[in-house]
Amino acid sequence: MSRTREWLKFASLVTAAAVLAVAFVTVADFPRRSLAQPPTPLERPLFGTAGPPLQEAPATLQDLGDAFAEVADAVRPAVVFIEASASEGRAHPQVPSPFDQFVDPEQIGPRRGTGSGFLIASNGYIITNNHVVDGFDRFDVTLYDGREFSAHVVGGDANTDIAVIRIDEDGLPTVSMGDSEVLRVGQWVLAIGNPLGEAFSFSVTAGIVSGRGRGLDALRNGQWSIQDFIQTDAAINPGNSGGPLVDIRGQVVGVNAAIASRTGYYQGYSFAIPINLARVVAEQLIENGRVRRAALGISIRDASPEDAEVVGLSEVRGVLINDFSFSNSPAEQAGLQAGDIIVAIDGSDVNYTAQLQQVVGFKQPGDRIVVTAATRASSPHCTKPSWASSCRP
Amino acid sequence: MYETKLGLELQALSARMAASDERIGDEHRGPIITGIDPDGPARDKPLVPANARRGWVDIITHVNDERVRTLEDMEAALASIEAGEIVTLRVYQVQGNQAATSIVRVRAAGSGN
Repeated sequence: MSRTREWLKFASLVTAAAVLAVAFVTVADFPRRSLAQPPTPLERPLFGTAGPPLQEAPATLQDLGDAFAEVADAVRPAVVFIEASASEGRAHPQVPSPFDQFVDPEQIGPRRGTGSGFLIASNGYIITNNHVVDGFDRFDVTLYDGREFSAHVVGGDANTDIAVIRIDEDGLPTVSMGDSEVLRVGQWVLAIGNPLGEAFSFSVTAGIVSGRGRGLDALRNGQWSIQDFIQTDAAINPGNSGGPLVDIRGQVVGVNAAIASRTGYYQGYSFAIPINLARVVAEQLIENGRVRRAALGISIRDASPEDAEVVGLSEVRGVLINDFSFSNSPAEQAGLQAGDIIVAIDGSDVNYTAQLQQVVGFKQPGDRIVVTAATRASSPHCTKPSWASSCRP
Repeated sequence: MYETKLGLELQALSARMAASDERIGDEHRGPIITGIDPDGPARDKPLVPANARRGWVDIITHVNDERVRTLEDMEAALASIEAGEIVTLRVYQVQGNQAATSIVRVRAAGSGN
């Protein structure tokens, strides 16, 4: 017994630490300077070099560097710097975060924050994080070319932390959209944004995809929260929030949103919202000003090896149904049962809970979807031995 | 004393505990988990020993779809389970002000270990 208790204590400490350590990446109070344009290179060096450089840079590194530079050139014009302010009083507090130490909780009067965003349409629609705009009512957007605009919020969704704002202008440069579903762990990615505020605006940092499908409990904002972050080691800091994470073709694969850190600054673990999710949310926000989500009405967890064995799956994957969230939930009506493992939606494999939440979250209430579940052979309501489509009796 | 097949320490849900918590209805009555054998088959399952101070209690309501209300029911339900067989538990988990039903599957150990 005592060993069990000790272990539990350890587990709960670890959880508490993780909760404290995850933070949104907006800036509360950092130095501001003019939006720095890239400096013109000097005509001649001021000093001689101590020794001769290599005659030629190793080709692979030269290519890599050139590639990064090309990506930066292509994407930066569509990235924006957002300065948000609340006209009076203290706006809604964001999640408790290490940044709170920079903000006086009793502060009265204008409050400011800065973040990043990117243009998705030439007529001024910008994707950013909901936490960049939530609680503020005035938004000043600066483009890479130095033009400044006032923006208004089109809509925001706290569950996915995506918001769309708009500036009134045409003919603007836009980003190219990628596909976050095909991202591979180990692939190069670049983050572009405004870390630590205006002084370092339009910074480009590089890293690789470190992981996918990450859940961040501290950012959970209700039962519908979608927990499917892309993890990267590209440096992301307060102020990068809402900026794009792009692949080496300059296509946006994620929206930089959070970091895991004990200090509140980059420690190697950055998180971005998959662009496929952000896109769907943004489209709905632009169309309706809000997001409507379908629900199967189930509580779920990832399947364990024992679950897979009981239902006759040859590999450990899929989402186990614990229970139905309300009576007569759509899943219950379809004949699914607690203990079944959902392995596909509309014919596409579903391997873990965040993936299921995302796929279902893309649907509209009333949409018909085909759920494929593995169920127990002896199940009284399902005659097929191990696999069944929708498992209708 | 751990129940040897699942490596769980169980106690009857006291009438007082059941009555004092409005989330525990008649349909949730069953043996409560008071300990988990750190070397047993349930050691890595999403189960938590009861902790009155934190307001945590896991109540087993079904074993392989069979309703269990008492320790005797539990014993009877497990009697025919062989080592290596996977047991499906339905557990009503109360944690603080949340309560939810979960499915937890445990591979039974031999009763001799």
